[in-house]
Amino acid sequence: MNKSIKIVLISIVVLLIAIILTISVFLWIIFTPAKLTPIANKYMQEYLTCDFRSAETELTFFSTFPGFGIKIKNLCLINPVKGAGSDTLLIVNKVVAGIDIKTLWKYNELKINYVMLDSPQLNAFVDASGKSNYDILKTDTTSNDSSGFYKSFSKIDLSDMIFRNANISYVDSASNIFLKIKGLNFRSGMSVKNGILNSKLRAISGDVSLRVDNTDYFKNVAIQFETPITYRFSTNTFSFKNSELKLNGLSAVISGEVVYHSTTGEILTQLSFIAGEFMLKSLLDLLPAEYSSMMDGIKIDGKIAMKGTVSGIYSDNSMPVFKFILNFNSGRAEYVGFPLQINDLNGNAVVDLDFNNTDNSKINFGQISATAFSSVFNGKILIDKILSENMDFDFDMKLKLCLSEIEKLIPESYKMKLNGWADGQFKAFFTYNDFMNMKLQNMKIDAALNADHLLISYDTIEVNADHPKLNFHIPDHSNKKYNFMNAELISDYMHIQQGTDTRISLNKALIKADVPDVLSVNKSNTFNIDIAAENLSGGQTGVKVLLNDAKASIKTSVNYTDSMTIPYLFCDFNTSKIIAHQDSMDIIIQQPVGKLKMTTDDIRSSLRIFDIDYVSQALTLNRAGQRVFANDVVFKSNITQNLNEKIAMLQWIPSGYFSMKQAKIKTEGLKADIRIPELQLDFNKDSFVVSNAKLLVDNSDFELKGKVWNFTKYLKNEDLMKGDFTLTSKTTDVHRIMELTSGFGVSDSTSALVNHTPSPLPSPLPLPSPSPSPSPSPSPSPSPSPYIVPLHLDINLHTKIDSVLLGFDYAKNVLGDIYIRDGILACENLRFTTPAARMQLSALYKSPRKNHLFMGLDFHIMDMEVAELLKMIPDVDTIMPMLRSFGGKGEFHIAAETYLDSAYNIKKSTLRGVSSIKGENLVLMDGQTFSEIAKKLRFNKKTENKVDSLSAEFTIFKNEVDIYPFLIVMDKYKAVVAGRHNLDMSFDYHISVVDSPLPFRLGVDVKGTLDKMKILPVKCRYANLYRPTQRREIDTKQLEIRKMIRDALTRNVVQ
Amino acid sequence: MKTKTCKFTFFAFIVFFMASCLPETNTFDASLLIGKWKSGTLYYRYDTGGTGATWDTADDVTETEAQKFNWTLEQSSLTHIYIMETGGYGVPKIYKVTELTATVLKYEDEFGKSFSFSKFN
Repeated sequence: MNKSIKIVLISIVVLLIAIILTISVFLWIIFTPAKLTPIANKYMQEYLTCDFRSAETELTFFSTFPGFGIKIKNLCLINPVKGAGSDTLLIVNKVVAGIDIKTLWKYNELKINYVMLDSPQLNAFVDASGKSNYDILKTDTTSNDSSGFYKSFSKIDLSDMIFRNANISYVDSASNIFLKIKGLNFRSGMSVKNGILNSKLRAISGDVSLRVDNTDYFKNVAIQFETPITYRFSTNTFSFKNSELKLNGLSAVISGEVVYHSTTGEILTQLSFIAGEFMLKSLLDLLPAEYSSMMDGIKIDGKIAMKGTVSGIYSDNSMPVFKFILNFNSGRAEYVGFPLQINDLNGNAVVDLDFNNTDNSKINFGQISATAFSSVFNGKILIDKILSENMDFDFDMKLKLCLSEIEKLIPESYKMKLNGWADGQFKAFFTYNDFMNMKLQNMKIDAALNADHLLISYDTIEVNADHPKLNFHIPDHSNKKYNFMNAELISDYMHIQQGTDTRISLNKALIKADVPDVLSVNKSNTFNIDIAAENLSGGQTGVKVLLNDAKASIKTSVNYTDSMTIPYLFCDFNTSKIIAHQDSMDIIIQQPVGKLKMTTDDIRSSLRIFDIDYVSQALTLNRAGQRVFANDVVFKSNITQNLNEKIAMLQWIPSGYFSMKQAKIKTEGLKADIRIPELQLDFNKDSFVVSNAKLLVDNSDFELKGKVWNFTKYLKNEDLMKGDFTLTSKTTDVHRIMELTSGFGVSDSTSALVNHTPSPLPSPLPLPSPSPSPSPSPSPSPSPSPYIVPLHLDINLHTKIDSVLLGFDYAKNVLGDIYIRDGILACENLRFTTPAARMQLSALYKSPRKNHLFMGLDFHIMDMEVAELLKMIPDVDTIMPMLRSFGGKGEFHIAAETYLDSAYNIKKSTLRGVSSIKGENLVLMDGQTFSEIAKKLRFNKKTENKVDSLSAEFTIFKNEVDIYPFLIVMDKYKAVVAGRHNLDMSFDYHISVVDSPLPFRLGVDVKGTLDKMKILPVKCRYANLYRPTQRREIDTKQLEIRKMIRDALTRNVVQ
Repeated sequence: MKTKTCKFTFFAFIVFFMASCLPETNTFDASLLIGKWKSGTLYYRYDTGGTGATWDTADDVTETEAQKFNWTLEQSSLTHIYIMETGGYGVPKIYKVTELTATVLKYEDEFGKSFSFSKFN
């Protein structure tokens, strides 16, 4: 080793030893604790107003190398304030303060360069009056500066202050602030110059809790804070620049100012911060419980980067305004009770929090995208008033929705199911409460959606559509009258089904609907629905309907909250063709156009008014072999319903007309078409007028005109309903009509009787069968309902038929009246002329009860051919079989009546009748009978079978036909014939030969039946019938009866 | 020829003697008729003033639905004239009363058909 170097090193070592020895002398001999402790106490007494205790004070060098320091052990500051949790303000294990030893040496003054507190326990307290326990520094009254703190520090240059493992408790009862900091390691470098404190702070605590006004702003939060701070004493302003703050690992860089106004106690903040990317949940965990409670049920997380500002005044009644600018990605959110979980949440947002005015707090997602299961959302969302209980939501989104997932948003009580996809634009504005209560009427929603494979089912209704486009607006912007919703649905194909029965399909459909706020009270809600479809088909079980080019416009107005208000309805429809099918029936209507309007009278609200206006071109109806065709069908009507009218039928006051032209009816079994060239009906509230009704059947023609009136009085039971019709016909071919209708309506099955009700009227005189049969005959099958004549009607039908064709014959000038009059159906003096006779018929039918029907007739045939009569009315042969044996001209009168049971069987006990027949030059047609009689009476063999005259009267009573004695002149014989003929075809006749070649009068009884006839000679019973002087009393009586019968019968003949 | 002559003589003899027979004439008290008479299901009601009504319950006809008639009783000749609702015609029936008591009514028509009724209330 170089000697010189060796000398230098030895010198240095010696110097160091000397320095150390010197310092050791200072520390342990000169500045002993015994000397320093009083000095320190003196200074503390000089600066502090509170009591204090310390163990000892010593000078340190080695532990505070390279400077000297003062170490005070077990320092305790005691400053009891009422209300404080402890009278101890501060307890410190040791306080080490760096001192200027030169100043201490020369001036015996303590100048502190730094302070280190080891494990201090600070209990700061401010009572409600503002008195604090940490206000312990004495004020220097000699200084102009009023700040004692500033004065005190004029001798203290705290370039460094260190807290190690500090525990701080700060309670401000005046401001209701509670702060607890545990395990705080704090270091600051401070310098005060020109009234400005410049400091560098670094604080780390693993457990900080701050409560203000019962709100825990921090609770056990780990905080790391490193910042340069400038404090301006004059303005109480703290300034930060790029301060780094970490809260539970969330770091932020903070810049700005905080100003404390000591006079008002307000703190003015103007801070900005930038935070790195962190998990949102970590931030939300920091939210005070008061605010995080608003997030109850909400689970939200994701990566988030944030910057923002905090500006404004913090005071008892003010909070600064927070503004956060967020960028987030990979977010997810879910809400308890909300069935969709939001995933892949990306976007940015600006959050404004203004606790002073909650309405100013909002989250504005400038751009956001997310998925919910398979659905995708992106767009803008503004959530306003987020600190209020009723947030506003403003969506402007592009959606691609999986409807089966969206279905979960719909309450189960709606029984609605969705399927398919929908994408498009969706804008909505609504409040939180309206959304949760599904108050659609309060929301603003605009949507333009394209759906794919759409399926919507509601209860039993199911709607399918391939590629529908749906636009809807809530409220309706297009027309203020329908201020709730305007919706438009366009679909190439749509199918609607209700249950398994009802279905509707639309091709090229366009449906527009303007919907009012249906829940509005005391308001008439007007709906406007326009439907257009290239093809519309629908049906139920057994029913199918197809409409081509269908267009319908429906307007309706309903007040749902007022059941007394009558809805308004207007329907305007127009289609090119309607095809309908029900079971075996098909209907085709060409160009049906119509309007239906239902309104309420402006003045009398109880009047509901219906206007119907229907026009169609060709109408074709096919049903099981029946075909109806009609052209130019017009139905126009105004119908008023008076809801105040108690009589249901009188509630309706109709007026209008129905007409059609060139109609044709073709039915199976009817071998000719029924043609209706023209039909026009007019009606009003009191009458129904057949203005023109023409009917052609084969070669028959009919025209009906007339009217029915008195509806109102009839319905009020004040009068009969009256009617008067005229039926005219040039030709009525009865024979042809009978031919055409032969077998019409009769099926092969035996159920025919059962199925038709009521039965047609019986034939004019339904005489019983000749063969004996019990009457009434019990019917094994259920009785058909007979025709019951309506009561309270007075309907007259005047007939005027020029020619009635009867096949083999015809009738001319058929005149007469048919009427229904209060339970009576009658044909009165119906007159007609045939080549065989001139006839007159009156008939009467009554139905007092179902099993007791009355049938009567009064029939007169004048100038008749007997044979023709029997052809025409075969029943006469039953009454008077002997007529079958005569030919020639005569006249025939009969009046008969009976009651019938419900099956139109005669009640024999009620059968009554009288008849008169008169003929001249009659010829006995039956050669066998003539031969029998001629043989018995020994006629001249050359005698012709000719009866010179015949005039007979007979009565019908029950099953007995009594022939009153009448005179037959034949050959050289005059005979009186009388007797009884029973309806079972047995008879008992007596023939008195009153003039003959024989010298005595002879009688013959003819008894038995036609098959077993007995002819016996008996006493001549009517020998003097036509000899007035010798006539017996009984003979006279019988002649009187005959005259009475004949006179009565002929009296009713209209000449 | 002889046989025919005998037959004719016998026939003429019978006719001659029968012509000389006159029927007996009885007189009955018409007041006994007043009231209701019944024969099986057939009912007759004779009212004072010569009116009456008849119905047959076998045909489901009640008294209120009975058909009206006028009646006269002269000696033993009972005449019913049934009044038709159609045209007001009358259907006469003449009977010969054979017995009329307070409880029994019997009569017959000229064709030998007899009727027997018992009175009831």
